Amino acid sequence: MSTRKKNILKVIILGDSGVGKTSLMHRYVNDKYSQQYKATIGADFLTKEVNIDSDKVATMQVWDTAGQERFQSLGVAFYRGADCCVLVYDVTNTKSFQSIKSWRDEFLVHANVSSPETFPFVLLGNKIDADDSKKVVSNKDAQDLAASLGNIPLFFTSAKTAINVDTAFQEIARSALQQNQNDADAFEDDFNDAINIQLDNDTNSCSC
Amino acid sequence: MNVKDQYLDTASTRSFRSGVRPSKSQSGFNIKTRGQPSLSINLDNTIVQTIIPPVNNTLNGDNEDNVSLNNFPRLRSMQSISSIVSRRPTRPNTVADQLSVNTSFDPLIEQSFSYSNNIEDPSTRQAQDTAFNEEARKDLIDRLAQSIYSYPASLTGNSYGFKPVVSNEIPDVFINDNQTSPDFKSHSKNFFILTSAGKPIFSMFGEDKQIVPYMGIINTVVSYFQINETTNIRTIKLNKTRQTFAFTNKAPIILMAYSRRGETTNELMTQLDLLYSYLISSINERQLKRLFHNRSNFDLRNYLEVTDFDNLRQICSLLSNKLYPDFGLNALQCFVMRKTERARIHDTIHNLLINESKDIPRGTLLYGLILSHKRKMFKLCAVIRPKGHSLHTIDLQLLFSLITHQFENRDGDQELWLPICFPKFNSNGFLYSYIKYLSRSHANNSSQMEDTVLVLISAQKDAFYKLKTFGDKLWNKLQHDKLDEYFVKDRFKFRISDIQAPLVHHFMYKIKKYVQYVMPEIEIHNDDATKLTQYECKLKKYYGHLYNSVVDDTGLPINKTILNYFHWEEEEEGEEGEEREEGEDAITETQRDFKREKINMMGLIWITPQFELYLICNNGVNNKEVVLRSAKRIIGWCKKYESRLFIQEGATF
Repeated sequence: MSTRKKNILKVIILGDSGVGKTSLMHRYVNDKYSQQYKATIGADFLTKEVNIDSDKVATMQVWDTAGQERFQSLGVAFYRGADCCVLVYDVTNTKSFQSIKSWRDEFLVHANVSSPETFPFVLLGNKIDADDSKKVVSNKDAQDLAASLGNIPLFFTSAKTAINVDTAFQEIARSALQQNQNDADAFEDDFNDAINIQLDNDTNSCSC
Repeated sequence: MNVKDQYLDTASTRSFRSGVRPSKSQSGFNIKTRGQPSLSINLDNTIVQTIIPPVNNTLNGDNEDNVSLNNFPRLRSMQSISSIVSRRPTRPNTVADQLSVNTSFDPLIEQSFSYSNNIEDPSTRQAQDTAFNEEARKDLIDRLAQSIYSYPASLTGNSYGFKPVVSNEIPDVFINDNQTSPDFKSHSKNFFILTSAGKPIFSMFGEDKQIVPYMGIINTVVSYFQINETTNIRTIKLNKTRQTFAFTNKAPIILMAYSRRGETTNELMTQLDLLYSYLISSINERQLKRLFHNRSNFDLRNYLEVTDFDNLRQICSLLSNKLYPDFGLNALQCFVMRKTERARIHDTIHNLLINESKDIPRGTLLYGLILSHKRKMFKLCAVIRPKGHSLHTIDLQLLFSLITHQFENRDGDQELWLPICFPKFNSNGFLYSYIKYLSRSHANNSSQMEDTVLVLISAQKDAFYKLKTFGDKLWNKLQHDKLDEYFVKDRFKFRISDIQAPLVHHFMYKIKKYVQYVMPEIEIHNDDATKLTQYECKLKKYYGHLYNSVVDDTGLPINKTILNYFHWEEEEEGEEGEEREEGEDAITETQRDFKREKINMMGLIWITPQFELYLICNNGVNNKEVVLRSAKRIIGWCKKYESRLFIQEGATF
């Protein structure tokens, strides 16, 4: 109990239903993949210790949210206090790609982040293991989108075959820590909270 | 005796019977032999019971069953002696009376010698080595001798000689929940503190890896009710498994308590309030709001110090595993001292404050305390306060826990200047405390001895030297006048046996206007720390049940004046054989002769606008009249010694 506690990095994963958010998280945290699809209800929580740039250690708390519409009312609770937001689309699903922008806006509206312009997002195009014939979102479109969202990092991943998952999450952890520290530095401490007490009036008296 | 009987007329008397099923884990009740001293536990208990005069069994208790040793003629004779004793004059006030009490007991001690010899007689024939060995026998005799009511009250100031300990072997009617499994979910109680973003701050049990996901879930549950119902969730109860989850949302902080111990939501909520108050005492609310302003991702636990976590852990353990009436009764305990002695101390402080007003101008000192500290519990010796002001007990409890931790393993000469926020006084700012140990017992037997601590509190950041100078002068003056002797040694601590209140095992008595309480010293044979904890846990639960029997859903007493008896009773047990499985060969002579004592516990709670009395009887007691008489005697005794037991005024300025 003598050492400083590890930083907790809250990472939230957003994207349409079925794009592979849960699979990505499981691949990253447990290095497992299941063919079976089970919709997330509300949110899943997983934790992983991460080494960042080989010298910093943090605990990543991954909030895997439900993509389905009916859980959106909980958004506020989930988004609050996130250190990084991961936007996921499915390269074989155009609609999921088109939703990315609205997911991002949704997040910024509810998350109440200190500076929306610099808040770290990471864009993931999942399911690149799929046959080329099935891929409907071009890499070019994805790069354009990433650029338009403020040059956010973009990774093409596959939870199924573990392509790029670790790399992507390394980047996610790095941006989360960066964000976490920026915010901490912005704070100036001020201990000038002494209480002004006049003994002769009893406004401060306590009722016990 | 000043107690007015009219309380009884107006009291709403409710009787409860809790159908407590004896759990299998209570194997302690099965007499294990092999010459184990544990046998004496039951003997001990029974002897206390035999003091009960035969009564008409109003509460379907069967007295014959309780006295499980009654086939021993020796014990019969003890019983008769005991009943003589319980018929003695109500309260011996003269020395002669007390002497006669003593002498009437002396043969009893001898009897217990011969009694334990008696046990050996039949068993020596076959089972020499399973009989008591010499040590166990001595231990038994020792405990038997101690478990007898006798000896005059120490509060009369007589020399502090041999003091018998009243048996603390009341049965445990509660399910054993001291899990030591590594899985944190197996604990019967846990506390979680997290930020409104779901980031962990603290949990009593559990590694980071285990608890971080739970923090997310807690946060989601709390948020769900806020968003969808625009209200705060208070509690989730699972009746089947007796699990209770209590939530407190103090955005940006969320707290949750989990308990499988049958605690009420209210109990858990007040416990959470104490934990939150601790956080505030360290950070203060204004600072907290500022930390989270525009930065809801803030990681508060890296802002807190290691000390803070230690203190939180300590508070959790006080709340879970110790009899902690300071918190439960919302009152403080006072160091017993003669009225004149306390008055002299207070006068000295008062005069010094006036004489030194040049060095310590009015307004510098806000509040002062001299405390006695033993086993992490504090008692008030003296109080310096402005007229009409006093600090909330929660605030003082927080201060006490800080002192405990800060001075652990440190030498006596250390001084401390500590900014602390008293949340119940003003949650937005800090006060500054000068803390110094005046006398320190030696570290190796510190659990036995009292330490004395001086605390001087100011609202001024820079008042350290002023307070230090004043503190030094005060201590010198107290030493010079030999007043320090009054509180460096607890000469007047009392035991339940010092009060002539038959059948009472333990009690707590609170006077509301002083916000102070008294209870008999808790002592355990051979100062065994584990046994002490077990015993305290047991008392804690009994008192908890007692209190919960008279409060409504909001945790307030159902009436201004209440008198209630509470009864814990074992249900009839069909087959005995169930638990024998592993020890069939262990059935020895003694086991054939003894049987487990039946649980039949009674408690009394008495709340009036002036005082609160909680008492627990010895096992097997079910005569309400006698218990009520004892209760009145306790109240009478506390009234008689009120000026010793309680600080009435303090040094006010």
